[in-house]
Amino acid sequence: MREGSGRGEGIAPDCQALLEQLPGATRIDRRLDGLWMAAPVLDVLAMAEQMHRLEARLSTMTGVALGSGETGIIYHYCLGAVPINIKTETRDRAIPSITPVTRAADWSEREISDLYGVRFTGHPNPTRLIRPPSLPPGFFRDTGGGGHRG
Amino acid sequence: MPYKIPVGPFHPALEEPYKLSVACQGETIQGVTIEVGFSFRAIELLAQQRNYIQDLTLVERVCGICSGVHTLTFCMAAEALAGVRPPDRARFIRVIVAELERLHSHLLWMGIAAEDIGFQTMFMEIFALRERVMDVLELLSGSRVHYAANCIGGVIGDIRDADAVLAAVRETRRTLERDVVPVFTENLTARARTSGVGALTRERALAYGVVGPTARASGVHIDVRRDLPYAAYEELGFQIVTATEGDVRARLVVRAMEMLESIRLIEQALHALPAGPTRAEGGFPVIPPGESTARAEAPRGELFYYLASDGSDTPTRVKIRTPSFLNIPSIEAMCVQQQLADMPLIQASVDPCCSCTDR
Repeated sequence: MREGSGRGEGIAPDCQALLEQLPGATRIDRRLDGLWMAAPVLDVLAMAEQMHRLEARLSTMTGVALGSGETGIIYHYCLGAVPINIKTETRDRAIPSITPVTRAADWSEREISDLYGVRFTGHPNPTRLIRPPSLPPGFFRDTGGGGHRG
Repeated sequence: MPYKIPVGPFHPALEEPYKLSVACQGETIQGVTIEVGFSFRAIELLAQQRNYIQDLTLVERVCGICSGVHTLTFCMAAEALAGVRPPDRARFIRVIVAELERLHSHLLWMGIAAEDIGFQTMFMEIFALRERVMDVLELLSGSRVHYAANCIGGVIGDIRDADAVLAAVRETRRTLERDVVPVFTENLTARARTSGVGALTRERALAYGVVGPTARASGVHIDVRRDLPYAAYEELGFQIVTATEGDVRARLVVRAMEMLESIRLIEQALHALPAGPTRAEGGFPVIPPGESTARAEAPRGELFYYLASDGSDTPTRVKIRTPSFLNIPSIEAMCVQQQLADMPLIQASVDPCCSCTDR
């Protein structure tokens, strides 16, 4: 991060409006490290398709254990030089896979499946990625995985 | 008759422990599937069980090559949460250490590339040069690999003998310009061995989301040092290096030219090194509740950290996405319709790091 200065300046107002009009979307906040949207019931496939049309680059996805047994999913994009972070949540431990739209999400989704036990519906290859075969999916939810404090 | 060869996770053709299942027709590769996770250490989970100071030591050990950029990015995420701005001198020292790290990483990779194309003499020449760079890092930090250079709010060590660093860096530049760069940009044998091999089109590079020299060699103009400048890169005027061919040669040329840019940045940062403290005032800050992200340009590309805090001394979530996590899958696209004998060179050309990928 550029210390002491803000980001998120430079995204075209029409891009911001397109994202805020997505099904389940909420208002975009500006923070020091870019734009953030917290949208628990976001239509992630519609979001991924819009990001693809805008030629945004998916940096990665973060899984965060929630106390409810669900998992917070954060999509970290870069639109040009503007970071955009979109937070949503799984429903019944599942969420649609965006890999059919965004190839770069493939390993990120498989990793979150390994660590948090999330089912990415429609993933073309939902197999183990980095989890040791001796451990069950979702072992990051145990003590120290964040879920106990969520 | 089609056949399949398992290569790895431990195999003479690989430098790293991962597995490529290569499907061939004759000597031509039809497809590759990749498996990782053979050196998984759950570093993210361990980081969520340790305090911020212990985490600095831990995340430095995600990688044995780009160790310093991990502490740098972790510090940047924590500083963003705490609202701390490192002093100017610390920001310049961060650039100097990060670019020395890029030099030793790129030199290591160039040496391996030289060996993979059968140029043993150049391998030895480059590794001798890398030792010189690591001597400089030892001079600065007391350590060749894990420098423990960064702390939240600045840097731990100061640069007391800038002239010694400058002399070593200039000597490195002379050898690079005289011996190393011409071999990888002009030498006919190296060119014949790498041109047109393992190409990744710009379209494919964007689809796989590759980063760093792998992306820049395919005409994707991304570099965190330019796009989201941190430390002192904005003041130093960073110049991005790109190519369009997307083959192994383009990856060689991009890394070779990037080393010269690294040396320019180090020289300029040493000349302009501001006086003053190396750590923010007030000692170790309280990390308040919240979440932040940070990005830095590691030698292999964009490194990403996500940090979440509940206000205690232990983060609730540390997410680390290394550049190799994005670059390794693209090997599948690079290998299709290539000669089986070229596979070791192609997979090496993304500089895959499983220590980073598996964490």
